[in-house]
Amino acid sequence: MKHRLLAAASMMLLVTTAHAADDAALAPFTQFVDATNAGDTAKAASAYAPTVTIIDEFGPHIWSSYASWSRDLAADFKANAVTDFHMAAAPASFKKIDDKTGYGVVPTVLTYKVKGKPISEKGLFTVSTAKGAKGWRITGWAWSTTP
Amino acid sequence: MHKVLLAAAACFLAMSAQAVRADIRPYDGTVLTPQNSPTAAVTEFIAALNTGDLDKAAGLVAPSAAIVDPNSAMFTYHSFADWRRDFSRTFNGSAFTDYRLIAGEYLSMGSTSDGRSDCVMPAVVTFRIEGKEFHRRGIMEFVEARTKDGWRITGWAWSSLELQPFWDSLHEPVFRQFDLPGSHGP
Repeated sequence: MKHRLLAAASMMLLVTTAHAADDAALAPFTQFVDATNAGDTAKAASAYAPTVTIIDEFGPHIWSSYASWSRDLAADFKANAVTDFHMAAAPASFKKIDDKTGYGVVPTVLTYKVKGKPISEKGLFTVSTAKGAKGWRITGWAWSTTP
Repeated sequence: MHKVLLAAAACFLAMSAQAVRADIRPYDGTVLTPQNSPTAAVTEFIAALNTGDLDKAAGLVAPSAAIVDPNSAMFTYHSFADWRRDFSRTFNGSAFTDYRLIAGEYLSMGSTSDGRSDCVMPAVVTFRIEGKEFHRRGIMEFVEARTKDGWRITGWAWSSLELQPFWDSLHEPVFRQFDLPGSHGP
């Protein structure tokens, strides 16, 4: 009985450790979402690696830095009178993580207002991360609106 | 009352369909090619992959294309050559054979006046491992740019929809268009 308990405890420890590693690999994405919702672009920026790939559905559709995407998003919001932007991210529905790279698909609902009218948009963030000298950082993501 | 509601619903559906199609021009006889159509570039790229003609596929992709793909050794690539190397390594001389990418109807599509384009579609990858057939379901997003040689793919991302029963059921109608062979996995 004692051996079984020990085995079960070891198994739980292994599972917990694996989950912790998964959480660490995708934590920069959570940081980006939370910081963006709070309007803290500096904190959002610190979640990114220097060279990244961002694919989004507004022009020019692809960027190689968070700063350029963030600048264009702000311009797009201004041009289209978008306010109250908020991202509600669910837990990753698919994850593939090893000791140096991470990949996750995160079902997300975006809500915002266009000229005061509330809009919601459902889709997927597909995120990749990598572990470098400064820890885990976002190396890329793509936003795909889904039905 | 019931009839009024039905009529209103039909009217709403008709208006929605009209809104979706409003920006699609009537067919004027133009043959769509990667020279004049971003969707033709994607279609030809997928056809080239499926016939194993990676040189032709490479001709439709910008050399510095960005690729987010969990099915390859790395998850993010910054050049098509690197992705091609890993893709070839997987399907040449290993147990993986018969790769095929099947794209569904577009979920969304957009382009800008300065020659950038983006499209999203459901897709299925089928392959065999030691002869046994498998499939994987996902959402693919392609981004493109118009160059002097025509439209070229500048990036794509594969969003895996495996291992997520809730999301799968949500998207089941989208995937009914595919005749899915084999089983999920591995």
